[in-house]
Amino acid sequence: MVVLPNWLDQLPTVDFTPEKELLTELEKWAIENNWNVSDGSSLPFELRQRTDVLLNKPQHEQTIRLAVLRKSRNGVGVIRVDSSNLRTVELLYQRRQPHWRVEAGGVRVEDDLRNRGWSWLINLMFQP
Amino acid sequence: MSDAHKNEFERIKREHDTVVSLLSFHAKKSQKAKKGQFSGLPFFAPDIIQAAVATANDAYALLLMARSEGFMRTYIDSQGILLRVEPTLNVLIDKCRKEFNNTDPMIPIRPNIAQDVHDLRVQRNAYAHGYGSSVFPPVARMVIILGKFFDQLP
Repeated sequence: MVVLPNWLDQLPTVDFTPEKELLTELEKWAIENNWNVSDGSSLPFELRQRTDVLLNKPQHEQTIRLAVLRKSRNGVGVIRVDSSNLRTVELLYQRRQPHWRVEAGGVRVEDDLRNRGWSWLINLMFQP
Repeated sequence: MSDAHKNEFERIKREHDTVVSLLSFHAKKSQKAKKGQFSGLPFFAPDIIQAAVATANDAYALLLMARSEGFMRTYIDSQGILLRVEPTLNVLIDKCRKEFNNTDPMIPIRPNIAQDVHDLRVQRNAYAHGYGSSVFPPVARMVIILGKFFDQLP
């Protein structure tokens, strides 16, 4: 894994294993698809404060910021995905199935991210 | 949901959406200005606009949490319950759910609905105490989460 948000391991009572697994999977996909992967330390302060993983494609002027949301001990895992064209999508962990649901503004877009894959999600963020 | 909760959450969401629409409008105009097409508007750096949108979401998310806390306190007061010390949001969420469900309602507040509000509380606390890499869900989703909690309250 290129970037592992270290704060995920600093909350001993909260399990962020699904979030870490998903970020690992995404980073692998991103590197294979020519995205630069970093922790977002190059971003301006206000964006850096809200970013755990940054995907960047300079030639297309495209960036995607991912942030793992805080949760309580039995809370729902949520990863917020923000694109440079101001679109936001959320990935919500469904503990029972288990899989990641894709939502936009509280509306379900896809029940299981694995059905469509990362390419679909990224295209969704940037399609006109 | 009572009209008071519903109207207030919708008002906040509408105001947030207006701010984001205006910022998006300027972002598009700025892109045109950068490409040399005259837009009649000054150029704003995309990073600054992205940061402004993120800050707007956080600001309205905090506002939603503050209003919700107020509604919860009002509900507890309306039940004639005297809380001797100023209750934390953690206490208010659990107390509200317990007291409401004790009234034998047709649709009680389920644990998972309260849990989602607890997650918002955790996010609010992290944000308020300056932890980085912690953001709220989009305002539209927060309105849905809080709406479900307040759905049955009078």
